[in-house]
Amino acid sequence: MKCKEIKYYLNDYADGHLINEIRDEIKNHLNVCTDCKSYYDDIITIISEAQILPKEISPSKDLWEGISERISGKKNPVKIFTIHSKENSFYESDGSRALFFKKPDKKRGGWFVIGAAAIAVVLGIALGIFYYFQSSTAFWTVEKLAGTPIIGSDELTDHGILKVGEWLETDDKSRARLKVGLIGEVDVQPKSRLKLVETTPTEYRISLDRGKINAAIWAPPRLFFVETPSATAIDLGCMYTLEVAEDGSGILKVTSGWVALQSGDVESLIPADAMCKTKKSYGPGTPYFEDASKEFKTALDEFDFSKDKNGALSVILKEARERDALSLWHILSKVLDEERERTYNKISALVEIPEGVTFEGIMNGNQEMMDTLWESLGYGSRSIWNYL
Amino acid sequence: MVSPIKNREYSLDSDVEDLLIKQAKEGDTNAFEKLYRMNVSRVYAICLRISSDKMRAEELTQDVFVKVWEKLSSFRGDSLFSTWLYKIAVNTSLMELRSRKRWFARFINFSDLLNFDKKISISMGTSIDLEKAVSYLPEKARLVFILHDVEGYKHDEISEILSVTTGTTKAQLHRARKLLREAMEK
Repeated sequence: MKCKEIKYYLNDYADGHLINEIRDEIKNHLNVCTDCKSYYDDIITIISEAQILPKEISPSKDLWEGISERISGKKNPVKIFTIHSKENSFYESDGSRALFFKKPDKKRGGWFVIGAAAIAVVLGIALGIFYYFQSSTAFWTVEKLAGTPIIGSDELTDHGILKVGEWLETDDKSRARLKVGLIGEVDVQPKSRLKLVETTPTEYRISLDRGKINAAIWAPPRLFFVETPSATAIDLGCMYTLEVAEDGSGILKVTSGWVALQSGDVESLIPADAMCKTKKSYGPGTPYFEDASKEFKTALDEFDFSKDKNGALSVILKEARERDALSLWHILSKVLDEERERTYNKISALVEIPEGVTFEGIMNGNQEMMDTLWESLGYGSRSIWNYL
Repeated sequence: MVSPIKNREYSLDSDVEDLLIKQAKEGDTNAFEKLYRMNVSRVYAICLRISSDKMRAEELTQDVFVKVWEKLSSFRGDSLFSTWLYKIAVNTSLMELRSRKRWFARFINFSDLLNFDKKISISMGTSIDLEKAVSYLPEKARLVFILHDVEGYKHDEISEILSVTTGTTKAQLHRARKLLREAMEK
């Protein structure tokens, strides 16, 4: 092995992860190569220093008081009962233990009992209403922002509700704001039509038939979904705008965070400042940055939504800047053989290929390498955002 | 390869710890306070390294022990109490970190944050202060480095905690060490 390959393995060597054969070769190499030995010594120094970092650090103040206050009102899950005073305590009885509670204070009869009963009734009704709405008529609240939005067949006054299965429609002068439970807001722009499909603690889903929405979601990723005729937008913690035309095609622009556009097995990941188009029967296209060259964007359109992919790819590769590696990374999984090779070569010319990613691996569609390559582009980890 | 820190010099023997856990499960807050005092420094160290913020680490430490109190009945003793506790500390800190990141993402462009990280990591001082240098690492590399090289978790454990592949955790660990090595050379 050459020094470059040796260095690639030195971290695993230091961690003891290599098979004997490679380990021996590296060991022999380190005996004769001062450069690699120095590299290895640095790794060992870092690991050793990390291991002797203090495992215990005392907080600047005693935190118990705050913890004690917070747990004192909480029921411990297996606690059977709490003995607060002598009255509610154990008493010996005939040599065996029995539990006695203090007898009710007679002074607490009359109005006390009536008051307690009234509170119980009110609470019962409130809980009943809560569960009724939770279980059978789940809805979002809607606020009118302009004009006269329509819910079902009724005009929305200042505020209203949108139930599961109902449509909200705006004309060219109307706008409305949807409160997505506690997780966000969606502004519905003029000439839009959308339906509330589902609202449960694990899924908030609308269907945007046409028009434009601005969504701001602060929930964990993959809770909020917007179906369109050509793809589904999946929130990954973000703000974005989604517009759907009469023919069902759409365009999504992300302001912050991430959004995934999905249709079947095709998924496009769109970070802040990027956009992505979708078309019926094609699904989501390739994400791109708005400031890419006009030629790049036109060629991307052809690549995504026409049959002449090869001619379009040449223009894309010619026009791509470092930032456009975002688009090229997506293209890798849409092309094969020589086209994938050209795309990978262009990416490697634009950005530094991270350790652990090889030409052969990408050509063979190795998913781990694709993930590592994606993460090296600086848009965050796919998995870390997906699982939260 | 090191293992997660499991034994504390000052810890009571396991019989005493088992008894305290049993009493705490039955609602004895005095027993729980003893468990807190035995473990608070380790928990705080984990929270501090992941959050890189002293005040937040104190809040997180409190959150961890409140969670432990609530979940104590589900602790069956299949693993060491300390292992179980530290995992809650890691997960609580990570959850908070992600929610904070999402909140900031609403106001700050992600690429700005990443560039900020890069600027810091390449402009460190001439002498290496490992603790400080680690806090300046890009987030994913920092998390994997803390869990692997400082806390002694294995790659498969880290991949489970972070929900990424072991290939990713290895690549991030290599990246972290490479950046720290470069910092050492300055």
